[in-house]
Amino acid sequence: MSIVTVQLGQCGNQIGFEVFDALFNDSHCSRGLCSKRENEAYQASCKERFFSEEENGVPVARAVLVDMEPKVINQTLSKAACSGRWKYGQHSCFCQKQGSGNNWAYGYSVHGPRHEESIMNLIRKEVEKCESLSGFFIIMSMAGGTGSGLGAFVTQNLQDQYSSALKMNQIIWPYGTGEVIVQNYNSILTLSHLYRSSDALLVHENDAVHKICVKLMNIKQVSFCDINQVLAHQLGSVFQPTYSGEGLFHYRRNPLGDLMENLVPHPEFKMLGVRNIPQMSENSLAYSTFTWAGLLKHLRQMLISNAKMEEGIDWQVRPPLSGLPPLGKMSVNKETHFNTSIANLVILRGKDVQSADVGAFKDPALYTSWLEPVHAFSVWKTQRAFRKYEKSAALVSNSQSLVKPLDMIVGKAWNMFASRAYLHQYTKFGIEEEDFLDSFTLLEQ
Amino acid sequence: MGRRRLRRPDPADAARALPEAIAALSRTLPAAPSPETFRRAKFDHPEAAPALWRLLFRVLSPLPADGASASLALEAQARWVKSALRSQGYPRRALVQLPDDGSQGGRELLLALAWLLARGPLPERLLTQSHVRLGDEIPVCECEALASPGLPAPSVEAEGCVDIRHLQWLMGKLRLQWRNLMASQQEQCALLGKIHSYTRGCHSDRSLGHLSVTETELLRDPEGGRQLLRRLEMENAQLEAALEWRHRELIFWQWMDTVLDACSPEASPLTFLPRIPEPGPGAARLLARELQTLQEELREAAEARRAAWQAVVGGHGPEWRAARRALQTAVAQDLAALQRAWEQDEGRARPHGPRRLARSLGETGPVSPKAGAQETGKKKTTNKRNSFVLPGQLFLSCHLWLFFTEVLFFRTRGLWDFSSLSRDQTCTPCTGRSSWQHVGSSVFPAARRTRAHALGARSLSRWTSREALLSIFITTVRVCVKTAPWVCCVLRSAFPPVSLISYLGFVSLPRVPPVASLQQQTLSE
Repeated sequence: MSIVTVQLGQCGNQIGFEVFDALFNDSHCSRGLCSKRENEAYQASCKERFFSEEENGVPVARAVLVDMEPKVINQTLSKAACSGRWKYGQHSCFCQKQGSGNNWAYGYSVHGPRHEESIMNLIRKEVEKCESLSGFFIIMSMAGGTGSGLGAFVTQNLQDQYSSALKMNQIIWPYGTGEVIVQNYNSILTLSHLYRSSDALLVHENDAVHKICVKLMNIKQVSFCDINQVLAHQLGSVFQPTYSGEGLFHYRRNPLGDLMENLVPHPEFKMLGVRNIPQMSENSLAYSTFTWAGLLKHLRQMLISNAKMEEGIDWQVRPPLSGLPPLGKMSVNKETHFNTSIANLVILRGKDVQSADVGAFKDPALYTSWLEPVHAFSVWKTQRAFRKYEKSAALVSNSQSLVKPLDMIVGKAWNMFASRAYLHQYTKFGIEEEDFLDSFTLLEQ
Repeated sequence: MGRRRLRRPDPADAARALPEAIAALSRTLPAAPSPETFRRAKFDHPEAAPALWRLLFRVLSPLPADGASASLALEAQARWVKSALRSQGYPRRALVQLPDDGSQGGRELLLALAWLLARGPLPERLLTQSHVRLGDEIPVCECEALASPGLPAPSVEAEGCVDIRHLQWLMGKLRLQWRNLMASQQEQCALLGKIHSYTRGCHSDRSLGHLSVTETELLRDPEGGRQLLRRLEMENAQLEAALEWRHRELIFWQWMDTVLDACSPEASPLTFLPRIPEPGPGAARLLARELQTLQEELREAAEARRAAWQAVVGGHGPEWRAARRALQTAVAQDLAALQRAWEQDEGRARPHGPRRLARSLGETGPVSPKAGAQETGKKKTTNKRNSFVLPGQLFLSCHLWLFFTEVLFFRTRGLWDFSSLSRDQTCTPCTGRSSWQHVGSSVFPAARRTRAHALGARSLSRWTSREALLSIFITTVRVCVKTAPWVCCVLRSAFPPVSLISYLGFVSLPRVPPVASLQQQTLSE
C-alpha cells in the first residue's frame, strides 16, 4: 500500500528530498545482511510504498511538492534528477512567485483558498496512481509561513476529501531561540489546527537533532543539510518495511495504519517522538560493534530520562517502584524527570533480530495507569539491516517528552499575545483573536 | 443402496443397520464421536457427556470453528451451548439443569442433538459452511443470515470503575482498525482485479474467462494443489456419508424414540424467559412514570421545534403544501419505478449467499455465445439511440410538420381520424438495424404508402392537380429530410409558422412517435 507524501514549504521540501534519498539508498544498499530473496522482497515493498514506476524504469517518488517560492523546489527537483537514480514527477510540484513572509495567517487564509484547487488536483493525480492508498505523510515546519499555514489548510482539506485515509504530519519543532519572532504564534496556531484534522503528529525538534549532529556525528559546522540527513535517517528507520505477523518475506502492508493503531488511538494524545540508536558518522561505523542488549538498554534509558541521543543519558533516572502509585500525566516529577509513556513502538532492524529481548520495555512502570503494557507496547522486526548499520533500533513513542517544550511555546506565545505584539499581521488576513484563544484552549488540554 | 433394497430383510442386517446409521451420521457431522459414544449416552454413562457437549458446541456455532473457539474450556462450551439452545427455543428444562462442568447428561444431550437434527437440514447446512471454495467469492445479498452475532465473548467483570481514558483509547483503536480494514479490503479488490485481468483467457469455462486466486495458486504451487485435492476428497467423503445418512435416517429416529422413553417424563414444556432481577414493584412504576414524562417532554419539544421551523420556512399556504405533496408523490413514484426496474433486472429470485466474482467481458475480450449476444445487442441499440438524440429531434419535428400539413390537407377530405393518434407509440429505433437500413425501410414503404394512400384517395374523389403537386412535394421533402437532417433546419427556418405548429405538436404529445410507425397505424384504418 502506498503512502503519498506532501512536502510543504522550504523546510518540508528539503527534508522530503532527504527522506526519499535515504529510503532509496537504503533499499538499494548492498550490505543488507540477509538473503537475496529477502532483499528483493524488501526492495519491492519499499518501492511500492514510496515510489511509482515510470516507463524507463526510473522510480518516481510519490510526492507532491508545494511551496510559495520557486527557489527551493527547483533546487530539490534538480538534485533529485541529478542523482539519476530516482526523481520527482515533472508535474507534481506547485509553486508561486511570492512567499508567505512567515505569516501563518497569510498561508492559511490567503494562499490556501486561492490555490486549493490546483494543490488538491495534484494530490488527486498522485493518489490515482496508487493502487491502494495507505495514507498521507505531510512534511512541514511549524515556524514558517508556508509550511505551517498552508500545511494546516491542506491537512484540513485532505481530511474533508479523503476522510478515510490516514494522515500523519511530520512537523519540525523550531529552535528554542529561533530566528523568527512570531514562530510561537505560528506554532500554536498550527498545532491547534492540526490536532483537529490530523491523525498523528510526528515531531522532530531542531534543538535535539542539532545536538545529535554535533555530539554524535562530530560535525563542526552544522548546516541544515546535515540536520535533514539525520532526520531522514530517523524517519527512514521508522518507515522502511518490517515483517508482519506471518514471518519471513511477508512485509507489513499498511505501515501507517499499524503504527497509528498502536500509538495514537486516543484522540487527545496524538504527538509522537522518535528516537534512534545508534546514530553516528559513517567513518566510525566501521569500528563499532553492537549487541542487542546494550542497544535496548540504552534506548530504554533514553526513553525514561527523556534523552534524545545516547550520549549524556542520565542514568540516575529510574522508573518508580511498582509499589508506589505511578505518576499521572500532568505532574512531571521534578527530581527524577521520569518520562511516562502512553504507548511505545520499537522497531528493530538487523542481524539476529529474533534474539533481541524487549522485555525491559514491558515494565508497567513505564506506562500510565490506565493502559496495560500488553496493549501499549509493540515490536516490529526485520532481519534486513538499515543503511549499513548492522543493528539498529528505533523507538516511536507517545509520551510526555513533548509536554515541556509545548508548555514553553505556549507560555511565550501567551506573553506575546497578552501584550498584543504583532497581532496586526494576523488580523490583516482574517485570523481573529478568537482563533488565537481557541488555539490556546485546545493546546492546554 | 439399490442392491440392498432388493435383498430380503435379514435379522442380522436389522441389528447392523442402527450402528451403520449412526456411523453415517458421525461421519457427516464434524468432530462427531463414535457410535459407541452414542450408545453410552443413551444409558447416561458419564464418559459420553463431554464428547457430546463438544459436538453440540461445534454444531451450534455459526462460524466454522477456529483455534480460538475450539480451545475454550469445556465449561465455557457447555454454558454457551445451553444459552444457544435456549435462544433457539429448546423446550426441555432438564438440559439447563445439567452441571456446567460437562460431566453428566449424555441422554439429554442426545435428545438435544436429535431436536436440532429434526428442525432443519443440519448436516447439509454444516457441509455448506465447510464447502471448499474455488472461486473468489463475495456475498451479494444483504440477508440477516450474514450478520450472525457470533460467539459472545466471555464477559469481563469491570473491577471497580473504568478509566474513561482507557475507553477512549479502545474506541479510537477500534475506529482506526475499521479504517485499516477498509483500506485492506480496497487493496484486496485491486489485487483481485489485477489477477483476473492477467489470467484472462485461461479458464476452461468460457463464461468465466479467467482464473481465481485459488486456481492461480494451484498452477503455481503443486503442493498446494495436492492439499486442495485432499480437501476435496474429504468433502466428497462427507457428502457420501450425508447421503447414506439420509437413506438410513428412519432407524435412527426409531431408536431416538426409545431414548425418549427412557427419559423421565417432563411436566410440561416450559418456555424460558430471561431472569430479570426483581427491583420491586415500586421501582418499576417509578421507571415507567419517568419514561412517560420523558416521552411527553420529547413530544412537546418536537412539536415546538416543528412549529418554529414551519414559521421560518413560511407556510405559503395550500399551494406550497400541494407542491410539497406533488413532490413527494413524484419522488415515491420514481423510487418505485427504480425498484421495479432493479427487481426486473435481478430476475425472479434474489441471489443469496456468496457469488463467484467474474470479470465482465468488455469489447475486447471473447464474447460467449449465450451471455454476450444480448449484451452486445443492447449496446448497439444504446449507441444508436444516443446518436439519434440530437438530429432526431429535428428529424421528428420536421416529420410532424409535414404530418400536420398532410393532416390539415387531407382532413378536409374526411379521410383521417384523429383518434389514431392515441394509439400506442413505441420507439422504433430499438430494432438493432443501422440508421441507413432504418431510413431505407421507412422511406420506401412511406413512399409506397403515400402512393397507396393517394391511390386510395383517388378512389374516393378526383384529385386536383394542385393536390397531386402538393403530395409529390411532401414526399420529396420527406425523402430529403430523412436523408439529410440539416434540411430540417433549413425548412424550419423557411416556414416559421408551420414549424411553430409542429413544435407545439412536438411538445404536447406525451411520447413522440416516429412518424413511420404512426403512418402504419393510420394506414391500417
